Amino acid sequence: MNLYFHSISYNGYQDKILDSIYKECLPPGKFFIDISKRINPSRFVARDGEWSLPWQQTIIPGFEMPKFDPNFKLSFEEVTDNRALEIKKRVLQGEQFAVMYSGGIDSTVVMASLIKNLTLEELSSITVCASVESIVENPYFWETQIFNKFTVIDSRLIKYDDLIEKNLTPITADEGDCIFGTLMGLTLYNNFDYYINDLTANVKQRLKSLKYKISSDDVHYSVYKDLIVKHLSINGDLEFGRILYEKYHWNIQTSSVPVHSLHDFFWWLIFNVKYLNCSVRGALYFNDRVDYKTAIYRIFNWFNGTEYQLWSMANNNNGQKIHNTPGTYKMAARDYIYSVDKNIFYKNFKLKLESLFLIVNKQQVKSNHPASRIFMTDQFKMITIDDEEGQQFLRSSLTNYKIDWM
Amino acid sequence: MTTMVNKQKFYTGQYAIYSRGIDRFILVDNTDLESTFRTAEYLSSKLPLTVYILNQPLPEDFINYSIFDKSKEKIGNSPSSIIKQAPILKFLNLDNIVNSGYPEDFKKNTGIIDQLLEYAQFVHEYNYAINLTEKKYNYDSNALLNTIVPEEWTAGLTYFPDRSELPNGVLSEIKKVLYTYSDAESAKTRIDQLWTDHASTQVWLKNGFYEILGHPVPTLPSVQLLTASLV
Repeated sequence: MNLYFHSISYNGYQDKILDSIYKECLPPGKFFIDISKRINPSRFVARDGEWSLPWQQTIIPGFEMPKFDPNFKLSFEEVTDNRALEIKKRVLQGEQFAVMYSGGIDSTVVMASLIKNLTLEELSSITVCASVESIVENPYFWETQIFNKFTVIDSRLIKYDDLIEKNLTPITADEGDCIFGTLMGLTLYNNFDYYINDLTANVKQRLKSLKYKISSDDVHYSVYKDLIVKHLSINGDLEFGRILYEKYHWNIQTSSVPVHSLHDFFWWLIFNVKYLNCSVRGALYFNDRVDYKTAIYRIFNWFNGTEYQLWSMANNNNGQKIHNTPGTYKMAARDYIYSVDKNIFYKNFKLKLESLFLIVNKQQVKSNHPASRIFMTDQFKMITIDDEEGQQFLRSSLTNYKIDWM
Repeated sequence: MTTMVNKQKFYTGQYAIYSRGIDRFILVDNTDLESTFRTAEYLSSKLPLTVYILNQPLPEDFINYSIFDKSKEKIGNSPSSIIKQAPILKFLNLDNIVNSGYPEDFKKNTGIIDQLLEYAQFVHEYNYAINLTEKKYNYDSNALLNTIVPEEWTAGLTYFPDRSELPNGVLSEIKKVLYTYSDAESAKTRIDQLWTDHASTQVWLKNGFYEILGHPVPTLPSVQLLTASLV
């Protein structure tokens, strides 16, 4: 069986079966299950470089990584404007869109870009899907740019299938993190002093001086190895952290894109192995009625454009993604939003927050429960952990898994 | 006895507002937890914040201090640093702070931090004034009716938050100013104007508000009068 997607998750639904299989596994299989204890859900597959999985899995067409172009010169602003112009073109052909808006940086980029590049008449084809949390997250933008200007749908009451059935094309900014980096990196930077505290005196001294070199061309991520291993560990189990670090490291060594700084390391994890999850999780987990293939290709992933990905690969360590601290994450996006709304506080003080679950309805169905969806085949057939076929496949794959990267 | 212990746990008399984005404390208070939290709510329109109940006072140069170990600060499975825009409440033992110096990414742009600290202080001061004015000078019972009295008791009855014509009262409008404005001077001007325009039938409320603030009562021309004179 060849897969397009897998989701191993300690989500309350899969726990019992995962625990049962865990007992039957050798250390490699246990390691693979443990990934989902550290980074839940575990849905990782490489778009570039080596990343062994317990099963055959290929990238869903349309989500492959474009070839790295070191000479790519378009700015974030130009790429973003171009994306809005794609929507403009489709609006002029009569298409209606619904933007999933959380008030966070990524979806605010989407709205700012549409407001900047579309006429008022064209904007009437844009519906905003938002919740009260969207207002709380960015009240100034709501007041000045959205309130009384757009039709608003309460995102707590709908899922992607509802929008598609209303003949609205959903626009999601769910891949914003893929372009700029990952929360996993931010939580490490945020605890830098704490993490280095019990390392050996020499290492501690060396790393202390590198606290503000997280996105610097002259410090390779491997210098921070002890720190990364600690961060990746589960409840102090450094061995798990070490094996996972080596798996990432091997992937980077076998990839075709330069990955140098500490922030590059974490950016690469999401730009490469987590990308597919960010791209299709909406279609697979916040949709019950529209077939998965249709949903995957109908949802417009704002940041899944070729130009955005080329921009992302060509703009490491120049201040566009982050300066020295987590508060400056997504600097290019902040600058873009500021060019539209002039909100100096948002530009300087906005923080990356978890927003997916604040804007997307988690209404659950009794059969084919989203938490049970564990595999999708390359024929877009969903297999749940309740299916005997799914359990058998999981068990045999994990018990035969091998660590081949160190 | 249990109740007393809990009170002491929560009401230590040492509170602080911490910016999770700047990774520094931006305001301290040694009086009132509820007011401190409300101030954080007003400021949350600008940045995500955590209110800490401290076990001892923070150093005076609190803008230089960050929290040493944030790895265990979680809400559910998520790090509290990324959980939501609205403020959250946490305890903090001061053994867990560290002097990290002035925020690294703002060393060349101290003006924006100054503006934030100034606005935070302004909001906190006005927040106290709103709370005290509400309790000391407002004769109406809106807060009580809105929150505690069963809704069916008041169905069909009319009540007013104060004696202005504003649907939610003057103090409510001032709260919105604190939430939506970004600089102290503009917010103060707007609040003065609100009192000027909506206090003719409740002068005692306006005077009480400014008495609590320790500010002179503003004598602005009202917007309505200005408009009339233009016509």
